[in-house]
Amino acid sequence: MKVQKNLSRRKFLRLAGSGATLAAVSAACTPAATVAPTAAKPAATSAPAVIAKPFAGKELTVFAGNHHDTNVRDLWIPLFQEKTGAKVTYTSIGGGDADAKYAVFLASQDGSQDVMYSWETFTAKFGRGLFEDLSAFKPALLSQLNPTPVKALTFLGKLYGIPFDSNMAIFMWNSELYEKAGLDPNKPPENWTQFADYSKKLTKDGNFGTLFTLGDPNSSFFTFISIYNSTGGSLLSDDQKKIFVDTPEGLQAMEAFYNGVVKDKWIDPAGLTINSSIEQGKVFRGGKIGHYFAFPNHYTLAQDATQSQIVGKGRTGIIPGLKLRSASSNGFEGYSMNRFSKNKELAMAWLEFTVSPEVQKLVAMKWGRPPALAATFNDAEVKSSSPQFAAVSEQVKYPAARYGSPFYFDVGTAFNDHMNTLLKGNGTPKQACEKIQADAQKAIDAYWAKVGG
Amino acid sequence: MAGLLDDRQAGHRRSVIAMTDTRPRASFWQRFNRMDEGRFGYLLIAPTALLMLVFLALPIGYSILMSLNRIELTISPDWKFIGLNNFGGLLSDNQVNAAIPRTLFFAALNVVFTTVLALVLSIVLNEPFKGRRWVRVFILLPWAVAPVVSGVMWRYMFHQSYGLINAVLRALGLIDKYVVWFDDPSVALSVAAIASAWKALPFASLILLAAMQGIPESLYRAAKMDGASILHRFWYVTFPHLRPTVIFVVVLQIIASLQAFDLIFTLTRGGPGQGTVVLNYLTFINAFERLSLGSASALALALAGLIMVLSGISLSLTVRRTPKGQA
Repeated sequence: MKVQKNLSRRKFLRLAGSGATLAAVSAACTPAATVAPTAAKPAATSAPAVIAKPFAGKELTVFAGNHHDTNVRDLWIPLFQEKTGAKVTYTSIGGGDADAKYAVFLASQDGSQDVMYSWETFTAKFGRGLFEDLSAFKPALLSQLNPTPVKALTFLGKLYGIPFDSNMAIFMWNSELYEKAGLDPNKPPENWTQFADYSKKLTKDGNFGTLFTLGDPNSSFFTFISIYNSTGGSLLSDDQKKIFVDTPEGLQAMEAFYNGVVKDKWIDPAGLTINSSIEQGKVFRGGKIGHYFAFPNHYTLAQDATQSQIVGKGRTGIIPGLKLRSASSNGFEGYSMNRFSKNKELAMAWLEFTVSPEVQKLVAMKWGRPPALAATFNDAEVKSSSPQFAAVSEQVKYPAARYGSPFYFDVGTAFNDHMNTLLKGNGTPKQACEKIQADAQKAIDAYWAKVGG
Repeated sequence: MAGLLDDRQAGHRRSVIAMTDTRPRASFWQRFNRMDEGRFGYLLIAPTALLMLVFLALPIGYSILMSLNRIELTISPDWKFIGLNNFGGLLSDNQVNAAIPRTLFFAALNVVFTTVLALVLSIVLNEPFKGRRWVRVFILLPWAVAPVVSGVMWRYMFHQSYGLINAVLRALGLIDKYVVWFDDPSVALSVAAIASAWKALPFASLILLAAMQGIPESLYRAAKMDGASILHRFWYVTFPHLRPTVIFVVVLQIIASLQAFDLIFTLTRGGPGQGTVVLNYLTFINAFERLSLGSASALALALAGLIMVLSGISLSLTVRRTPKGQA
């Protein structure tokens, strides 16, 4: 009882305050946790070394998708730091969450990240608000890059990102499952009809012939255009104001897909809940599907025994088409410069670095992605270490539009909604096309009305 | 003139007293300890009030401001004042109209699952049995799990290829092949409601248990003497006394359901299609996918208003139906 009287609430408050003050003073007196090793080095370097490291003592912030970690963070950044003397702070986020983060950067005009990873829809969606116009980017260097990804990162005539790859889906199959199904393990299907026949033979023992991703707006749209592009049709008008789904080409693509999932059941319906090509690749590497439309780096992963149960069994070719021999959909990625960055000179150095021959070789040989720099694509060492690029060389001859746009999410949502309904066995392909046409066009009209209004 | 002189003399006297007063000046701690209760009270709530101002009042005010403007970040970071147009637009927005029944369906399932299970659990925990104390501690665990972790956990449990639920059902012979649970909006919403109820269950059970323990034992004895069965005792003794608490639990669950976001984000990401996009998730989509901050703010405020109205109605029902002396 006496103790309680002595410890009044005021005394308690006083004690708590003193404790907090002590903690604050102690924290303030603690020396800084780390000193960047690169910051200490310049003092000891000689004059030529300073010239070789023009950004010594400066700091660059790089924002990327976490699928860049093992390459950009672990391979590119040490090289960049070594070359420039700059310290790089790398932050990554799940690719699906990047949209939200970029929206926050834009809304708050946050320049804390100097360069950010981007792709076709990001440059269209965030270009005017968040990214620097790079149209004047080193013309000599730009001309050495594959023009298709450069065009993809251009929106309304302005270049908002520098591509570091020429990534696009190719065809990959499991030679062992082909043999078991009585198929020639070295002869992939050459058109959609053959693809369907092969898939039916591969569908057995609880496994399906193939799998497409349909789990969210982005994946549904991507899957549809991968097939639609091989009809020879164009889904969006050049000015991005009209969409063409309720057309003979749209119906042909939708019917092909519907038959595979609902009618003949050789496309795994689990794809309705899968939204990432990374997950799709895992299913293939687990030996669960016979073939699929894969990004080239999936071949590299399929050869990695720590991530694959089918090492040595993966083969690559071009995607079998509906009307054209083939078509694909691209996955070009690059880096953009934050227009609110206070560090644009160093940011520009990073962009140049990403398309340097040295980094482009890393893109090809370590990441397994087709490089953006044409010369690297033809490099003998790259060709021999990355056999999947032979398929890419052939695949680039066919359409691979991705139709990135500021209204990509809404258009994707229309596809996702109505394709899901259709593939659950409700309605007909024609009805799905009509509904997508109506909803997607409405979203596009709404966007352009806002721009004009 | 005389007054002026008096004032001067008084001032002179004060200066003299000040110069000759040898009493030590009160220290900060002495003045602090002498502070009157009213001021001390304000001092105590000041940190919380400051936090609420910075992290609650200012964002709400900013959100109201945004809701009155057209902010389309895909076009430009500029704001354009449009009055209440964003609110008007909500009424004709197909996605809002589609999300309302989904939200109500999710809320209804969540409320039913949580309330019924919590009631059953609290009745069980009110009965004496060996290890009851440990069970009471054990059932608190889901409450301690972060909603995001809970969402990921349930997603893997219902995973079509390597989920626990499929494995168990197949082992029991109830299914012959693995079920794709999340490809049907109703099933996906039901799973979300189960996950939400699982997390809310401990809190709801404890509240009901506390209320149950406040019921006088004499009422049960009297009912027994009158020949009432267990069911009759529950219906005529237990439930009337629990009713205000049950309504309180229902209100809390309605509010939690209308606020659902993190669980659905990690569990289904709104899919399949837009099948699990509830109103709060739609707010996120409008803000961070469409970058329409004005309309997203309007939707968020409308949702906040709806929650307040529903809470008000439920609470007024609670007060009205509470037996006298229990309110």
